[in-house]
Amino acid sequence: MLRTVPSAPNDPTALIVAAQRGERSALRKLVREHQGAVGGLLRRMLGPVGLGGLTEDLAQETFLRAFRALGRFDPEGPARFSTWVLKIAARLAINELARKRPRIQPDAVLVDAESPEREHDRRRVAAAIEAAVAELPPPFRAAFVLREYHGLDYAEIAKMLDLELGTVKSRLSRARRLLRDRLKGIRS
Amino acid sequence: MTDDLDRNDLDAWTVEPLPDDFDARVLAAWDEAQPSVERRPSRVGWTLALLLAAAAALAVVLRPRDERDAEAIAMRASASAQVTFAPGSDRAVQRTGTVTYVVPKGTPFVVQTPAAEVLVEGTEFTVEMLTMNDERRRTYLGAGALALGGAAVAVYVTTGDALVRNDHGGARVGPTQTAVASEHVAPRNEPAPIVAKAPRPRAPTKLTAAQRRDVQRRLADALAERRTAPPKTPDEGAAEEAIAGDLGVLQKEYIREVVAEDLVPLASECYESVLANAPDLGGRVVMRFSIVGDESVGGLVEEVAFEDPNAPQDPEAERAVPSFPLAEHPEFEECMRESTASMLFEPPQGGGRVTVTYPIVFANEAESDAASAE
Repeated sequence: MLRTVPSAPNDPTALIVAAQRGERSALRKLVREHQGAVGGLLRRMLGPVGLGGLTEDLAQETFLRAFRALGRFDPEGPARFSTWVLKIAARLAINELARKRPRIQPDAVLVDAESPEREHDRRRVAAAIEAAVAELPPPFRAAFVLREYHGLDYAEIAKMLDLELGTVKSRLSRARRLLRDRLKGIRS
Repeated sequence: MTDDLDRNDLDAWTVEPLPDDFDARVLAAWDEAQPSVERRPSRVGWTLALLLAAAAALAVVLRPRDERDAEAIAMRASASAQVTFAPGSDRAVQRTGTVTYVVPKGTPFVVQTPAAEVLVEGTEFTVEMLTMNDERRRTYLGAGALALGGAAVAVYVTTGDALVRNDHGGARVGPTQTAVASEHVAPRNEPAPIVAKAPRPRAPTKLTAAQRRDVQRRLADALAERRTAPPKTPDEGAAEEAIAGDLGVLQKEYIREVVAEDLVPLASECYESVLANAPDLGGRVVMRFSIVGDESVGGLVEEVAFEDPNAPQDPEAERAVPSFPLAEHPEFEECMRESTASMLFEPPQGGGRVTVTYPIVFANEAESDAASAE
């Protein structure tokens, strides 16, 4: 006799309720729907620290913590699951970045000939952004990534990271200036 | 904030997505974390799905159908492995990852994969599913198979032998041999073990002293030959002038890439070895090295030197980093010198020499310390 496996609901509230009941298809669907956002946040926050599988490990831990706490999540409440799971991921990343570890950071390479004209501009821009973000303390690194890559507003970010709204605004403004200067530098 | 930053610029910073089987890993870890429940096989038969997602490899012991005289089958799986097995049928189904199976003599066993099935009896072997981006697909299965896509597998035999077969054919594999197959290509026997991650095609990361001497000798010959070559005809001269803009130039981005892949892991070892006795040691090291090469041989590092630690730093740098006290740690300096010299590059275009100045900051600290030290 074959047992049929229930398919996960498409409605977000019903999906959370099914996951709270422990339905595997619902848990799987939650992972699939949010792994892109969680992975993106962690990769951008961790940078080179996340290489070697640490990003995947923290992403996994994010979902395990979310599943364990799922019973306390109100699917009818104001909080969205997407924001809630990003908060868990951001906190895990901040804690990870606070750990002491040997760090090797190659600096700007100088070559004694003119650099070729066909430098990959996009990669340089990406590297400039990554370097600027890496200079932010972890909570503000999280704030920048959440704002620019996950579309959260200042109030949501401040609440999520337990920071003052004004502080979030001022530090992100500083980050923006730093980034503009870097981008200007590589284009001049 | 987005008012002031170009969205296109921000979108340039892309990141690699999590692996395709990430959801399976999470669910496997979730299952592992649940309170254990005794499971009994149903009359209809059950399938125990092993979704192995722990950070470390996991060893599993299976019992074949006839337990009266057969030994157990042992299995070690990588974190990304996804295996289903039905103990009653002496058969495992592996969909992803790498799994090493040890099958005792007298015990027939089959591993089914989407690309081929592996039949053994008394064999220790490793089955590795090759991901879509794995360079070994092209190397061992050819560009045609690469274009067709589909699942691909490498089967490496440690002891005993195995028959690897699919709809397109079969290959017998002996000890220390590998078979490679895909959904669209018959298994092929490769005499070499290729299950370990393939090196970058450019060059091995570290040469032995003998290999290095050989490359240096061939490089010296090639450069000498060029110097004694007859004068070029006007046409040849014009052609060479046309590439003069690139002569002796290696792209910075490429140099960064080689340093990141080849030097940084070795430099980490150098650094960690001195940290054992001086946990607060750190600072900035400025290396200067030359890359010389010839198209027929490759590019080698020559003349590794460390710049004056008191030289002025980039005035645009937002914070000065103290110099690494190399003089107090000669073993670190030697380790870095050897590691730097072991890098291999593409030769500079048109031959010649490129001198690279490369500062590296060594720090033993948390990211939060580094970021807040502005």
